[in-house]
Amino acid sequence: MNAQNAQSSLDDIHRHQDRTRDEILRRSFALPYVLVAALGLFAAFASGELQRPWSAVANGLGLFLYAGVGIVREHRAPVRRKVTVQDVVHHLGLIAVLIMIYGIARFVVWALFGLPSEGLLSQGTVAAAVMAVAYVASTPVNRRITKATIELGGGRG
Amino acid sequence: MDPQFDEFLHVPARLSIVALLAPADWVEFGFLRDSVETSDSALSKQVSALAAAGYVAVRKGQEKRGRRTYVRLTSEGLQAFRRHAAALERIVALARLPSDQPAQG
Repeated sequence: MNAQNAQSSLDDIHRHQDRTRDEILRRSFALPYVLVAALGLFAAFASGELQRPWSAVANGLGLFLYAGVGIVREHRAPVRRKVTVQDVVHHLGLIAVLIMIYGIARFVVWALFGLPSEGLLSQGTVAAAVMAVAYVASTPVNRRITKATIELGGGRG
Repeated sequence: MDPQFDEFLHVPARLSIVALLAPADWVEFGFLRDSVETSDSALSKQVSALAAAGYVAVRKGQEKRGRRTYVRLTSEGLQAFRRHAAALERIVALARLPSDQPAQG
């Protein structure tokens, strides 16, 4: 084994490891999954402005979509990784930021446009839409955070 | 030769499989086959050899679209892979030392 062969083997190792990492990221942040999750978030957060029983139906459907898309994505993925503490912290942080965006958007919509607090076009509906857009827009950042977690060795068996 | 150099693992197809498995938990057989660019039978042979050595574990899952096989690196396999990669890095590092500087260790 000479140094040239050793270097070539190391290059192959890195190339193959990157291939697996890229596949995990590609699947995790595929646009259809991100859009369905954003739709679920929108339905769950906009549901509060609807009348019963529609508020409960929309809330349940939204949460089902949000959680369900993650389960389906993992089930179909050819490369699976375990959920790590970093993943949970990242996800909780993301949800906290999104709730904050929802609250701020709701206040801004009320202050600027004077939208009512109930009904189809209400503060909550517009704020939920802003939050869903923010979720989609945050994908590159979330992808970078997940990439860093994977590179640190998180999520393997 | 570095004492941690693993002749068994250094077979290119085996090293590729283990490198692909290292960052993940379970990996589907089809993904491995396409990434290594080999046939089902050739990959199956290498996976069986790695499983016999205790480096990988194999699981078959029943899914709607047919039977899918998943492979994962065992902790023993991961340690062996890390030792082997470290041995390769040492070989490269030693070659980079100036010829008048004696190698340490």
